[in-house]
Amino acid sequence: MKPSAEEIGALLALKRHERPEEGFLDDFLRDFHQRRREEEALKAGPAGWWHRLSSWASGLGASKWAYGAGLAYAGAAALFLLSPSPVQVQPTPTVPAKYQVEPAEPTAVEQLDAVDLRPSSQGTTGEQEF
Amino acid sequence: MALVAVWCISAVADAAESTCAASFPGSSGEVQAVAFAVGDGRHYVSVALPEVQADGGKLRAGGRVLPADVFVDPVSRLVVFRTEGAPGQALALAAKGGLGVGTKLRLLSGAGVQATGWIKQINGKMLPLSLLKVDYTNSPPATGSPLLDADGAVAAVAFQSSGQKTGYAIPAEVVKRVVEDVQGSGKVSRGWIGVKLLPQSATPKVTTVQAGSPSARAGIQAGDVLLTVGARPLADYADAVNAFYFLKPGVPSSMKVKRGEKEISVSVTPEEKSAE
Repeated sequence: MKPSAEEIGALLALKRHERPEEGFLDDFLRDFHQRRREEEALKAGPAGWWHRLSSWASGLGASKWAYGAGLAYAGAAALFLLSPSPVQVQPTPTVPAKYQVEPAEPTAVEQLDAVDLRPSSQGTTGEQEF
Repeated sequence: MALVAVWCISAVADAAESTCAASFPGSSGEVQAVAFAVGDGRHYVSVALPEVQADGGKLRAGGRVLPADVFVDPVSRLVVFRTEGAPGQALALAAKGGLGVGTKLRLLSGAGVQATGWIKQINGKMLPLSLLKVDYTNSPPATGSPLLDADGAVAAVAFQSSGQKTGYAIPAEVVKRVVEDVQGSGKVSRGWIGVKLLPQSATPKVTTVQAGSPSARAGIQAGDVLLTVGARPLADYADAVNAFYFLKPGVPSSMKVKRGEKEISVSVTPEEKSAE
């Protein structure tokens, strides 16, 4: 059933007098951002952490710079203290190059006492006297 | 006895008058070889291979054994038979130094032979004297066959075959060395100078000089590098061993040694090497 023109006119007149409470619009925007940050913070992973941190930092106001400077100082100090000390390289003592090459021990060669071309022939090794 | 030469003519069918047959006892019977007359015609030279008993050798003709004294050079395995009676037709021994790579030789039958090089060691073992390596036009001849030069003189003696048409031969100067010993003193002697060398040395360097030896008396010292022995230049240890083979007891031999940067000439008189 469609409303009549009179009914619509009465409804509009009623709405024209409706007003939100005092301060409603001032808190509305802040509440909106607060809820949005809370929803973001609930997200998992680094992005969530970053958003939580950002939310926390933004909530600090002007003092966030002091906190940031302190954090940077603490990080630098920790880096300095925890970094490994430089390795002390002991200089290698200088050893003169050995130019005198020792000749390899020559293989013993047999000397036959007689002209014997058989593979089974046996001679003597070592110094031969003549 | 007077018919030795005649017997020898008939003993070897394809040989000339100067050759005869020799036989040596081996593990599986008599081993045949050729013998040829040298010098005064009463000395026959043959070769006894290592597997036979050299001093049991016999000179044969027409199936008969000819009476002969047997002299053996245990180093070269040359055997000299000394006979009595009428001499055979001796072959001349070529003067030393005429052999080299490419030298044309021939057998008594006329078949061609060519020298292809010197063998100083075999199977990694040093020989007590250098052998001549030869190529034959036909199959290798019997052991002891003379290899003649262009003048018909004996330049080498067939020792042992090494292939279908190749073999080793003993140079004539070795034959001459042995025959002269037998003809002169009735035995094969060896000279001793009292030096020691190492076979594996790259150079013929004296490692030890025996005290009181001919070398010590001549002034040779340990560390000297031998350059020449007699007229033979030495390039290595094998050359020195070959040169020492020709040293004769009591016969002075000139030697040149290198000591540091100096070259020193000495004369060494070998003594007879005592039997070991």
